[in-house]
Amino acid sequence: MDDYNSGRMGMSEGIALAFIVTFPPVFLSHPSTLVTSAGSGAWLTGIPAGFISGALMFMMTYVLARYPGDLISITEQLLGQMLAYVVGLFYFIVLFSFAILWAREFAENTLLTALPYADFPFVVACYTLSAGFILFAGIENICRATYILLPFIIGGIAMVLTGIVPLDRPYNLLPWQGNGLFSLIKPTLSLIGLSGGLSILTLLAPAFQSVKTMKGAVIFGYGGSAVIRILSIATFTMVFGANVAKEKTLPFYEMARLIYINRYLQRFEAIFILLWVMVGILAIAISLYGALFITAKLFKLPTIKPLLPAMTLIIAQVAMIPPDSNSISVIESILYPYVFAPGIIIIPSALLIAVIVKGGKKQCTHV
Amino acid sequence: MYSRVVLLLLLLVVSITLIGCNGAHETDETSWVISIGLDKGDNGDLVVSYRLAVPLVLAAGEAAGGGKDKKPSIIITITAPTLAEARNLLNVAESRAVNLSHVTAIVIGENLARAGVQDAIGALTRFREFRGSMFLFVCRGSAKDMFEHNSPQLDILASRWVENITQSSDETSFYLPTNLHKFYTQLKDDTGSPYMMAIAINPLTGQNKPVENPVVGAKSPEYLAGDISRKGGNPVEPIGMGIFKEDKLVGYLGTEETRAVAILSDNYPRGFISIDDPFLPKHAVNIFFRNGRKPKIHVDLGGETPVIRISVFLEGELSSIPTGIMYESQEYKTLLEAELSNVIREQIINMLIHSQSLGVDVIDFGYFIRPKFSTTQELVSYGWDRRFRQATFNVEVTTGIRRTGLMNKTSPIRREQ
Amino acid sequence: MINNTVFTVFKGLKNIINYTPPTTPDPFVLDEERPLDSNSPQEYPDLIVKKSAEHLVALIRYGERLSIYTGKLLTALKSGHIISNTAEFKGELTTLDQEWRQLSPLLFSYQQSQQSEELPISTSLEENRKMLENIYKLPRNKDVVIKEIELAGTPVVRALVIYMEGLVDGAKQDRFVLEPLMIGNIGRNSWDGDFISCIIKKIIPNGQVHETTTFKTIQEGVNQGDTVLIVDGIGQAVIIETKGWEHRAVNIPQNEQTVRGSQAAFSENIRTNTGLIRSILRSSDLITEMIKIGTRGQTNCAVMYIDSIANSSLVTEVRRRLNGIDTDYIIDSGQLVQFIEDYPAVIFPQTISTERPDRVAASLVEGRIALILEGNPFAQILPVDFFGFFHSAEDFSVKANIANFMRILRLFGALISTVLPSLYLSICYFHPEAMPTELLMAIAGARENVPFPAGFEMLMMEIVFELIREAGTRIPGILGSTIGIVGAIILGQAAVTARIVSPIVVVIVAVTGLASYTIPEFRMASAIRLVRFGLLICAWAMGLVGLAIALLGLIVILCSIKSFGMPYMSPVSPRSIAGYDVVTRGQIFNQEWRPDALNTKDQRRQPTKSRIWKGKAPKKGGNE
Repeated sequence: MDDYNSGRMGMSEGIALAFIVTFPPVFLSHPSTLVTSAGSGAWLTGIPAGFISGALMFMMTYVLARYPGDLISITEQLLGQMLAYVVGLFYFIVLFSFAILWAREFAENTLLTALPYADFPFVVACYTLSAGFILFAGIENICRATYILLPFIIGGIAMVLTGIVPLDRPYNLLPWQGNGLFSLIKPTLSLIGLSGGLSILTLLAPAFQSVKTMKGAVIFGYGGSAVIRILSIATFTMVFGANVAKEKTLPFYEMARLIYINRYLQRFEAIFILLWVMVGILAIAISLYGALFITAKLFKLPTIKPLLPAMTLIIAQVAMIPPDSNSISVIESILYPYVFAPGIIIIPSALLIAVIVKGGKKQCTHV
Repeated sequence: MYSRVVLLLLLLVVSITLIGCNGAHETDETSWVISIGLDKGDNGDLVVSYRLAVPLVLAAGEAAGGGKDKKPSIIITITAPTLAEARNLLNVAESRAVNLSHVTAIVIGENLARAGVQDAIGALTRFREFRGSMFLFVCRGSAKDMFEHNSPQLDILASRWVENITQSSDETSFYLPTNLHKFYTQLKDDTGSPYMMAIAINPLTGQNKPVENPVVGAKSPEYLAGDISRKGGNPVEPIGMGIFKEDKLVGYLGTEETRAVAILSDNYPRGFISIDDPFLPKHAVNIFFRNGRKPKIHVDLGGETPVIRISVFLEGELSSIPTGIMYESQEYKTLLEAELSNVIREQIINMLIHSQSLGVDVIDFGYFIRPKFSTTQELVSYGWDRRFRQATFNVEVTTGIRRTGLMNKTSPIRREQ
Repeated sequence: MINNTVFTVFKGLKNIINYTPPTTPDPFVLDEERPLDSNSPQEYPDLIVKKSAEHLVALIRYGERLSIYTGKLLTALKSGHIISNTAEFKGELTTLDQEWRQLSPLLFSYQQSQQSEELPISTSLEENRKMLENIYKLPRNKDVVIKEIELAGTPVVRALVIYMEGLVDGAKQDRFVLEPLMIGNIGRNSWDGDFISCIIKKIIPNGQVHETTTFKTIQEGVNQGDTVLIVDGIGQAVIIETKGWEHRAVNIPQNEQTVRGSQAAFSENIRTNTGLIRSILRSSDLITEMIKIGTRGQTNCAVMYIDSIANSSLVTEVRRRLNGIDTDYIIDSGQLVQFIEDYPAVIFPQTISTERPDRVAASLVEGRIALILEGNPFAQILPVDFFGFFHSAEDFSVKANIANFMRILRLFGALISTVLPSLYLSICYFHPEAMPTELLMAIAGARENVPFPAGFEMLMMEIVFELIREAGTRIPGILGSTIGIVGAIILGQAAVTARIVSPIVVVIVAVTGLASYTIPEFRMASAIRLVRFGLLICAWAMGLVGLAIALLGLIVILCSIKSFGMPYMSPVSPRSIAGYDVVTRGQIFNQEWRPDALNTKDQRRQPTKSRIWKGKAPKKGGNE
C-alpha cells in the first residue's frame, strides 16, 4: 500500500485533524455571511449541519469497517474505476479550493488587521510558503503540532467569548427563525460544504488504528469545532444584533476588539493574531496535503514530495486572482452550498448503498 | 543539499529585507491622538479638533518633563469636508505620522448632532483604527470649546479622565457612558434608539439652573449638563445624556431622568437620594439605594397599542435621619419606603413621558417583544417605533429598606425647656 | 659613484624611500605531509631491499644465538656435564628449532607483509623486543618501559616486562609481578606441560591474569595499564592487571546542585562512575557493556541498562551505533552523542547530560540507557523527551506540590525567555494599541531621546548580554562574579543615562536573561537562546504574524524529531500514558507506570496500593 508519509495516527491526531480542517471559517467572514442569509437564526443552522456532517462521516466509517483501505481504493472496489476518478477529482477540488480560498482570505485578514501596510503578494506568499514548508515534516507531525496547539486555540476563543459577556443581549437571538425557515436552508448547506475537509480523515484511513479512532476523531474533533462555531455565531449575533452583524467583515476580530474589562484589560485583540495565523497556516497545509494525496493516488505516483513546491506556487498564484474581497464572498456563496454540499452528501450515501447492496462483513483488523 | 538550503535562506532574507518594514512605525515617529471632536462648519464642512498626547512630558524616568510648563497634550483644530481629509491635513500640521488607535473619546458638537451624524459615523466603523470601545459624547456647545476648556484637576492626561469618568458613572448613574458599539448597534437595530453621554461647560460662577422644580417628595431638582451650581473643578462636566432619533439629536435627559433610565436598564449599583421626611417635610432623609433585582418589564401586545408593565424593586440603606423619628421601626419604615417609591415612580414616569413625546425608545422596550415573533420580517412589519408613541405604561415601584447605617435609633437633641 | 653632494642627497633619499623590511625567518606553515620532501634521507630506497636487509639482520641475530648455544654445548661436552643438563639443552634446541622455522624466508616475508598488530609473538626474546620497540617508537617514547628480568630458579630464564609509566600502580606491580617472579623458586624444568599456564595459575597472585599470543592484545593491555610478561622461548605473553592512575575523588556536583538531594557527582574515572551507579542500584540485572571507541583513542564507553526493563531493540541499536563509529578519538561524551544521535543538525539536545548518579539511576529504572565515557564526568541518558529537560534533581526529594510549582515556574521561565523580546517588539512596532495609554506614553517618552530604532536597541542589548554571559565564564575565579555585576548593572544604568537605550529594553533583556537560567539543562538553555534570536528577527520583520509563523515552525520541528526512536514531544504529542511525571509530578505513590513511549519490557513500576501500611489499622502496644 502506498504510504505517502501518512505515518500512524491515533485518536489525538485525528481529533486535531478534524478540528483544524473545519475550524478556520470561525475566524473569517463566514459568520457574517450566515447572518446575512439567515438573520438572527444563523446560529441554529450549525446544529443540523453538524449532525448531518457527522452522520455522513459515520456512514463512511461504516463503509470503511467493511472494506479497508482509503477513500479512493474503496470507491474503486465498490463503484468502479470511472467513478473513483470522479470522486477523487471532486474531493481534490474541494480540498484544493479550501487551500486557495483560505490562503487568500487569511492574507486579506492580515492586511486588514495585523499588517495594514504590507505588500499583498508578500503576505500571500508568506502563508502559502509556510504551509508548504511545514508539510515537509509530514502530516503526522503537523497533526501532532496541532494537537499541542489545540488547548491554546480553544482557550483563546473561550477568553474572547467570555470576555464579551457583559455586552451580550440574549434576545438578539430571537426571533428564532431569523428571516424565515427557508432562509435557513442555504446556510445549513453552506456549513455542510465547509465540512468537506473531513474527507481527509477517510483518505488517511489506513493510518488510523481502527474505525473506533476515526469515530472518536469525528465526535470530539468535528463536534468540538461545531460546538465552538455555534457558540461563536451565537455570541456574535447576541453582541451585535442581526442588522449590524451582517455588515462586519471579520466577526472574531470585531468581537475581540470590544473586550473592555477595565482600564488595563482592553484593546488586546492583537494577541489573538497569533492564534488565527497558526490556525490558518495549519489548515492550508492540511488541505494541501489532502489535495496532494489525491493527486498522487489518482495518477499512481510513488511519492508526493516533488509535487509540493509546484502546488504551493499554484496556490499562491491562484489565490491572487480574484480582484477584490467581495468576489471571494460571491465565489464562496456559490461553491459551498451548491457545489460542495451536494457532493459531500451524495458520495458517502452512494458508498453506503453500495456496501449494503454488495454486502460485506465487518472486519476486526485495523482499517 | 546544504547549498540549496543556504540559497533558500538567502532568498528568504533578501525578500524580507527588500519588502521593507511592513509599515512598522517607531514610537518616536508617531503622534498619538487621544480624543477627537467633531463640529459642524460652514458649507457642509466638518471642524475636527484633535487632542494629541505629548510623550516627552509623560515619559518615565529622567527623561520626563520637558519643562514645568509644558502641557501633556496639545489641541489642533482643522476644517475639512470629512474625517479622512482632516486626517490628511493633520499629518501636515504635526511632524509625525498619525495613529488613531488610542482614541478614547469622540465628542460631537450640538450643531452636528442636531443635523445628523450619519456622515461622520460612516468612517468610524469601517476604518480599522477606530474601535467599538471608544466612548461617544455629545456636548451642549461646540466640541472645540470643550477641548479647550477641559482641564482635569486630578488626572494628567485627558484619556485618563475619560476612562475614569466612564468607570465612576456607577457611583450615581447621573450619566451613562456609551461606546461606539452600543450607539451603532442601537442605530441599526430593529428597535431601540441610541443615546450619547452629554457634556457641557459649566461657567463655574455658582449659578443654579435647574430644569424644573423637584418632584413631590424629592429634595433636589433636575439639571442638565453645565447647569449645576458649583465653583472650582473641571469646567467640563458630564451629566445626563443626549437622545437621538435615527441619527439626529432630539433632546437631552437630565440627572434624574438618566437615573431612571439606569434603573430600568438594570444598571444602577448605588446612589444617594434625599427625600422629604414624611412627618416633617421641611427636613430631608438621605437614603442610599440600588436595584434590588432586575426590573421586570413585560410588554403586552394585545390590541392596538402596547401596554408596558414595569415593576421595579429597590433596596435602600438609611444614611441620615436628622429629625430623629424612629424610621428604623417597622411601622414608620413603610412610610419611608412608600415615599421613596413614589419619588422614583414619578421620576420614571417623567422620563417615559419625555422620551415618548420625542418618539424615542431609550430603554429599548422593543427588545422585550422579540420572543413574540417568529421571523424578523414579522418584527419589522409590526412597526414598534410607531406603536411606541401610543404605548401606555404601568409603573410599579416598591422599596425595601434593609439596613439602617451605624445607628439604629436616634436620641433627641437636648433642648432647653 | 662620485662622492658629490647631489649623489649623497640622492642616496639618502633613496634609502628613505626604498624601504626594505628586516629579514626574519620563514613562519611556520602547517602543510600537508610530503614524504618525498622530508629531510631525513630514505634509509632504503626500495621496499624489497629494506625487507631483505631486515631478514639479513634477523638471520645474523639468530646466528649469534646459535653460536652462543653451540659454545655452551661445547663447554658442557668438554666438562662432561651433558647428561645432567640434557633436558635443558633439549629445551633450548627446540626453541632454536622453532626460531629457525620462523626465520624461513616465506614465513618471514608473510609475517612482514602483515600489520604488526596481527603478528604472533615470536619465541625469540630479541625479536619480541625489536617488534615492541618498533610499535612504541622506543627510545623516542619515554612512557613505555621494557625491562628485562630473570626468573628466579634454575635454569635461568630471561623474560621481558613491559608496562606504561603513569598508568600502572607501582605497588601492585611490585607485589603481583616482580616479587613472585624474581623472588622464589621457579624452575622451568620442574613442570611439564605449559609453563605459561603454570605461571598464571600458580605463581602470580593476581585475580586478572590471562595469556595471549598476538601483539595486538599486548598493545591493548599495555595501553590500559596492565603489565605484560614475555618469556624467552615461549611464543605467548602473560597480561597482568596492574591498573592504577591518578584521579579526582568523588566531588559535589558543580552544575546541578540541590538543596536536599545527594551530593555525589561523577568524576573522570569510569570505574568510579559505574561503581557509584551500582551502589545505588544493587541489581543483578544492571548490565554494563564496555565498548571501545576510537582507533587511536581506544576510550572506554560504558553502556548501562537494566536488562529486565530496557527495550532490547533499543539496546541493540545503541550498541550498533556505538560500534559503527570510525574515528580517531573522542574525548567528550558530548562529542560521542553527536556521533550517534539522529538529528545532529537540530539545535535541541536529544540526550540529557547529567553529573549526578541518582538522576542516572532514576532514568535507568524508567527504562532508559546511560552512556558513560571515560575521562568525562557527564553521563548521557537516552532516549529522552522534551519535558525531561525541565526536570531537576530537586524534584525527586521535595513534595509533589512544591515540585509542581517549581516545574511550572521553569516552563514559564522558558516561555518568557523565548518570547518576551519578540512580543515587546511586535507590540511596540505593529500593535501599539495593546498597551495601556499611560504605559505607551512612558515608553514613547523614554524613547524620544534614544537615537536607535527599537529593534536595533533590543538586538544590541541582547548581544551585550550574551557577551557578558560568555565573558563571565572565562574570567578567572574571584573576578568573575564581580565583572558580571559590573557589566550587567552599571553598564545598563550607564547606557540608559547616556540615552543609548531606553530603560524598558534593559528591563526586558534582564528579565529574559534571568528567566533563561531557570532551565536546568545547559544545552537546552543554549538552544533556547538561539531560538530567541530567530524569533526576534521574525518579529522585527513581520510583527505578530512573523512570530506566529516562527513559533509554528518551531513546534512542527519539535514534533518531528525523535530521540533514539522516541518522539521528542511524547507523551503530549503522540498521546501515550504519561505516568504522572511529565509537566507536573504526581504523588510518589501514584507513579505506577513507566513512560509508555519507552516500550519497556515491564510497564508497571509499583502496584496500585503502594502504601500497604495505610490499608491496615495501626497496632497498639510495644515491640512485636
